[in-house]
Amino acid sequence: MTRYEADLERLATQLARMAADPTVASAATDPAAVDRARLALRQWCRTVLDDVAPAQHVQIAGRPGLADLAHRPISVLRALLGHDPHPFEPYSSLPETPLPGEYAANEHWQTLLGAAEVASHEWSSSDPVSRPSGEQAWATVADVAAIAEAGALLDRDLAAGHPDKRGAGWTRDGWEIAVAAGEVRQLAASGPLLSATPLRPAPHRLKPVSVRSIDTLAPALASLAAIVAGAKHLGPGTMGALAATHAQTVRTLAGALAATGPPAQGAVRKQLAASLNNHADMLVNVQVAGRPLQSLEPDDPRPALQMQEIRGGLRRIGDAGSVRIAFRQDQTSLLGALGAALAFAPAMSASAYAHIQSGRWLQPTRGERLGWEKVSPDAPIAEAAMLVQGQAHTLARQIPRPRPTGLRHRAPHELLPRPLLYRDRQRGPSPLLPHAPTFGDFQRGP
Amino acid sequence: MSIEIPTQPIPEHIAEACAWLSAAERYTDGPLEMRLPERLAAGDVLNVLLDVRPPYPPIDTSKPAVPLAEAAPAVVRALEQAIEAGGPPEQKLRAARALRQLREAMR
Repeated sequence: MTRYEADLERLATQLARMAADPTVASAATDPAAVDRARLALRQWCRTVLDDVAPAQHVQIAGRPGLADLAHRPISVLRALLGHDPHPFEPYSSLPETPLPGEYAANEHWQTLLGAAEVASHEWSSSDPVSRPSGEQAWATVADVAAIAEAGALLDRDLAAGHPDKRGAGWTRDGWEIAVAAGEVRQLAASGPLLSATPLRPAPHRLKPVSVRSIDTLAPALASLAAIVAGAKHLGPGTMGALAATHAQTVRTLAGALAATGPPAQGAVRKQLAASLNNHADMLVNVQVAGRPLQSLEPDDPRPALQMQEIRGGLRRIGDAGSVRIAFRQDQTSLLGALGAALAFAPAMSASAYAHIQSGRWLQPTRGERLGWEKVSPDAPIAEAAMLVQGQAHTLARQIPRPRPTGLRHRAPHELLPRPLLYRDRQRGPSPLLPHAPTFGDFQRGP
Repeated sequence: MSIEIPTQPIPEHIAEACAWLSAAERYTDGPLEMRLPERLAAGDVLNVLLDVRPPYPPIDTSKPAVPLAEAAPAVVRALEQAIEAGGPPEQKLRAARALRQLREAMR
């Protein structure tokens, strides 16, 4: 191990200690130590990324979006790391009694500052020729991404623990850097993607349906089911992760169903919510069954992006309580979202069946040496997917249909005020005619 | 015919944490409202630990299924050891993210 590697390990260990517990970093009260450590960490990330991956940088105009991240993850991360972190201001006036964990937290930040400065110094003083380049640079990019991601977690902890919420403004920075760094870490850890461009769909097709408010959840869930059904390839691990993440959405919706609606429907709704929670539990079984399986092909990224948008959208609306309040006002959206959520299991089951049939999912062989063979059609994952699909069909029949919204086409007779129609029917013969027309009038002709 | 997939060895402490998390994820006894959030949490933490390329070999699933509350102390211990033991920065920070997620879920 080189001196730089040892210094980097010290930095990572200290960062890991702090990131492992959200209460550690946030108890700090020494703004100088906190800000110097955060700045040192940010500068180390920038310097190393610039040195090992200069060719990856493309200037991104404006605020980077999800499509930029899918196509130029390193550039997006570099752009987000481009500015210094917002300064940490712990308190308008310091309390007289020390806060619990304050000394330990300040010490943690001091140690992190020292470790980041030493690692930066070692890197800067190293011979540029000795630095990793080409294929070898990916491991360093993965390290930078992992450290940037952990640094972003600490920023979010500081913002969350801020007594007067002054830090809330830079929580967004933390989320953005964490998402971009996570993407880069995965990309870098999987090595160079030689044929990346042809494998990725066109940018417009990468764009998931946004969840801006509660009434956009149903279209996003419907899009998820459609994307999963049409996905080119999904590994068993990804399929399982999608199923388990979707289970969380189903659970949220079940909670909202039980807690809202007319009191007369309370018992029925609670029963239905219990069945939905059971559905969520069975979705987790798909993830469990997929754990030992592998696949060689790269995943279609669109289902994960759509799922990210759904979960992120729900998070933006708020905690489970806020989601329930939003649905209380809008039962049509809740019932619509439930119907759309139940379309996921059949889509997933069909996709799993197709993957198994085409021999693209592999299971470990039973032998001394680890080998892999095609998953058999009666494998536990196939059974789990089938069961959850059947359950979804049954549940879908029990969900009340949402009432038509104002967007539905309304016939003129529905729009015109009733008194007007009654008046016309009750009115006598038109004053322009001498008498009411009779059949005889028409038969006679002019 | 057996197919070869490149895998990387799973570090001891990570393997121990994964085995306990798998036990919690497989737990299907007990009331649904208790076990569902715990199974989801265990699966999420497991996903963080297994997010590596090349992948680890299949994890140990021989531990009997237990609720996450019972498995958590062993997972915390194993992940704390993974942070302090020697290893690449990415591995330590992955263990930290997993540990953080577990602590948040258990709060």
